[in-house]
Amino acid sequence: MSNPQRLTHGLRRRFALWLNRRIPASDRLELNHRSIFILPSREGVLFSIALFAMFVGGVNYANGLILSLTYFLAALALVVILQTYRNLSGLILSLDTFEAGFVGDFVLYKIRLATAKLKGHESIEVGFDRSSLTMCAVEPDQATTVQLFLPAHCRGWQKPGRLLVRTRFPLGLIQAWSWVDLRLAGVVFPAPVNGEKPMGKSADTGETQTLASIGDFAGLNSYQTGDPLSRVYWKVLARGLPLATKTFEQPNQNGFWLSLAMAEGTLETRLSVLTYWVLKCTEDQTPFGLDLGDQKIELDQGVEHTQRCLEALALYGLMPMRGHV
Amino acid sequence: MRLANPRLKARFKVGSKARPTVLVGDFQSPRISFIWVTLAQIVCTLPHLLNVPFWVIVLCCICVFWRVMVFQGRWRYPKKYWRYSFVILSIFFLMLYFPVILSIEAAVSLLIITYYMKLLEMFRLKDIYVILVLSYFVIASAFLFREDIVMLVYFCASFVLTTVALVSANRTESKLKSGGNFRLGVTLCLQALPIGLCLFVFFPRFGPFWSLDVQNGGPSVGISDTMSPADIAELGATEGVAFRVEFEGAQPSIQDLYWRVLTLTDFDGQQWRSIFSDLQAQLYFSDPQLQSSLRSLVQPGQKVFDYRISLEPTEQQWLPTLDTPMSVSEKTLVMPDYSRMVNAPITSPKSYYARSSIDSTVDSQINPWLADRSLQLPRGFNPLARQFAIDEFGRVNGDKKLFISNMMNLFLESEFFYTLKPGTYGTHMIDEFLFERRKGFCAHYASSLAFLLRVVGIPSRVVIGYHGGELNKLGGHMVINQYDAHAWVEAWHADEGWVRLDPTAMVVPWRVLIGVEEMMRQSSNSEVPSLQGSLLRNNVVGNGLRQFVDFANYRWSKYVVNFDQDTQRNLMEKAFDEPSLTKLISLMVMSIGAVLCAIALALLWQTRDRNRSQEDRILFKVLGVLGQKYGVRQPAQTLEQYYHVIETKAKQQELASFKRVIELYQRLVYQPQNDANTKIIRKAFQRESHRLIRQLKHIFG
Repeated sequence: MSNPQRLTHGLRRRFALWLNRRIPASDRLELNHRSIFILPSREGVLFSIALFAMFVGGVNYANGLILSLTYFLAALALVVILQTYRNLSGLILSLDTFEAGFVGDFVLYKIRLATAKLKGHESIEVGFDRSSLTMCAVEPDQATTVQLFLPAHCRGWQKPGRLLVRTRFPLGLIQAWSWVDLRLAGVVFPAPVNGEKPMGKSADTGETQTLASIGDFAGLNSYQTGDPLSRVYWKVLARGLPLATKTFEQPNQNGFWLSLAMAEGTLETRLSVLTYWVLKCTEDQTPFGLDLGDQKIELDQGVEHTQRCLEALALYGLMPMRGHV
Repeated sequence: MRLANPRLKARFKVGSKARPTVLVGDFQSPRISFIWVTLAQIVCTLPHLLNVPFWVIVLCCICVFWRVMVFQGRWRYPKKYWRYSFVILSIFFLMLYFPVILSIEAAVSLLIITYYMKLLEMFRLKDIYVILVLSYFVIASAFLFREDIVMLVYFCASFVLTTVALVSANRTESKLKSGGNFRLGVTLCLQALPIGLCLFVFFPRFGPFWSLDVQNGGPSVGISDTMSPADIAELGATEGVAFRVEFEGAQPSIQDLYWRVLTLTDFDGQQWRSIFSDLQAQLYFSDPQLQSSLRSLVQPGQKVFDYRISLEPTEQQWLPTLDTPMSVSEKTLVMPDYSRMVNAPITSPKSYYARSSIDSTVDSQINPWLADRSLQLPRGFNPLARQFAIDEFGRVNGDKKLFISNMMNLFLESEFFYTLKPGTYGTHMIDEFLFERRKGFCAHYASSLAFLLRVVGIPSRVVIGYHGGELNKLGGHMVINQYDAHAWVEAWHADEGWVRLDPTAMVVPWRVLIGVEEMMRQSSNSEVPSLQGSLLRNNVVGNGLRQFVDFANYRWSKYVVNFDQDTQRNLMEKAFDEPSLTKLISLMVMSIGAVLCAIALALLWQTRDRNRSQEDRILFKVLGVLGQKYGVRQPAQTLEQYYHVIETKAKQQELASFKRVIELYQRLVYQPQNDANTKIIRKAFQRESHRLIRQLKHIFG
């Protein structure tokens, strides 16, 4: 790092430390005087320059009315400081949900804004940095959800850091803002890359997959002892016919294991290939299991299963976050 | 591995998420703000309709029309090169139209053109800010042209509208009711009002860093330093206020209200001319002489009057004062005839304080050069009058005082008429006037008398100024109009100095007693021209209205427009024994601070926390104290979970109490009972909670 870079880096670190002390991380934060910063905005600075020019003109032309205009505009700016502060104070921020994304795609964070006060908040801008903010308003009785997208660059945890909450209501001359740490952590799945199927050991086809009700209804069989009671077609019994069991057409029962060890290439490539095959299996509705060496996810099917596998792939080899099992 | 974070089912397609929405800085401003901004622009430009050339107005209308078309989606914005070439073309036309490019009118015209052209570039929020800042400059420049009370209405309207426009530009799309914008804007302005007033009164005022004068270049108004009878006649029919006077304390009677402006000493047969604007004459009279003369003006026991004059712009340099002025608050040049001048033409309303004494002896010793000059007469003019004067002087055997009174009586005894339209006089004006027609007004009378006196060697000169005035009953101030212009004579005596002689008083004594206006009102003489707007004057309601407007204007100019260093100093002197700058500034800071505190408190009250029920409040109090001692409850924890957390740390007694509190609370909130039971449970809950708190705090401290 060059010297100026080192300097700014050092300053930024100090600022970050100071922020951590002043606005500690929390799952739910209510903005108050400790967390709100307030300064004139860029338009406010232009406004004050214009005001000063008008003041000088008024004094030099000895014109009482021009001076009065200057005074009243200055008074307006002072009043606006209070109004802008009030617009931000009392706002409660928390994380509603997040949607994970793939590398190269976006991670979606849903931030929930509510207020503890009797009056609503308007023109609130929320975002991760100054250049991409989303505007919203918050009513006193209902919560608003803001969707924030953050590009995903590498797999694993995505820690967006502090959230910028800003407002310039009502006149745009003063801006009040806060940097809020909601302990945001998003998950980024590896980008799927087509590669050879990293098949691990095959599934034991001997095992009966007593999966609840996958597949299409194929017909009725007469009841055998041992058939699960949940699969009995009870309506038939009501009609007086003997017990029957529902059978389902199992789609490809030949599930298989996807193994990290079987894939080729670097760790990341291997994970990407696995991701691709996970997605493909989900599409084909083939049951699959995931073998990541120290972690094994049993054969299964369905959205939840896929989610679990993708998360395992995304977080392979990474430290767990605080608060997670 | 499962994540503890709540999450949705992921969408498993790459690139399935929608692109992020438009960035804030590039937001197109809400459409309603366009309406407010244009409205604000139009209102701000209204006073300038009279100040800028007609074609500039046409240009602005075109811009507005174009913008409305764009707003409705029918036209597109003009391209950049069109806009720039337009501005360059306008500058070119301005340079052609205005002879002096650096004049205020040219600058304001350019400002207005740029102001409206900005409409055609209005896409984003930043553009709205540029327009609104330009609006403030347009409003300020309007005040350079006019400062009367009508501008108060303009001030309020334009201030409120620009604020509303700013508000409308800053709101989220969802809140687009126009009523809401207006109400918020007005609220902000009302909140700013008291602070603005504090700043107005207490912010230290000081003189210009470098003095600028608005070069209006208008024609000069009122009395000029040459006079022919036609000039005064013209003034006599002019509608317009010359100045306003407010006396502090005693006020002289109307007969004594002679307002001195200039003296005219040189006569060429037709016109009288002032000699004291001649630089030569000024240098001849050195300062110390004048100062001592001024001091000797007032003898003990004589009446002195203090007053404040508010003078309308005249484009000239003299200041009217009550005869004879001793001191003026403004920095003036004291003329040898005790009239006052400032060193730059008066282009905007001016106010000053002065002190005068009536009936003082002025110049008991005359400078020989002046005496000589005051005796000169052009040869060959008015032979009859000359002869007449010499004859009359001979008859009284050289008694100057008697001669003068005879001459004055001449006007009284012979049939002289006072009329503002006597017709034109020929070369020997005074002969014609005295012996043939005998019809004229103050200028003729004064001219003739001065002539006659000079013939016999009495130094005399014509004094022009104003006489009388109209009392404004509402304000108590006097209004002196242009038609109050008057001319009279000063003659010098050895022991009495310059003595005032008003021959017009001989002819129309009531003109001097009651003033021209009343005289015109009462006289049905068709020779006396009626004034414009006399309908308004003769009507009681109309007159009352006129007086009210005049009163409002006078107060406005006194307290607002002319509020300056001196006014502030007077205020401070009234309030404190030892006024100082620090006291002023601290007063300002304190008053503003007080208002801001009041507003802050009002805001706090307005946005107080939602009503928690009483039970909630008590529970939160309990939790607060527990939290202080044993650790704060996490937001998502239930009461039972929290109980388990502190189970290991708290005392048995406290735990039991807390358990009971929880139980009672849950019964209160989740199991509705009939009224009687609820009361019992509530009471028990309160008691238990307070006991717990006391227990905790007791051990605490």
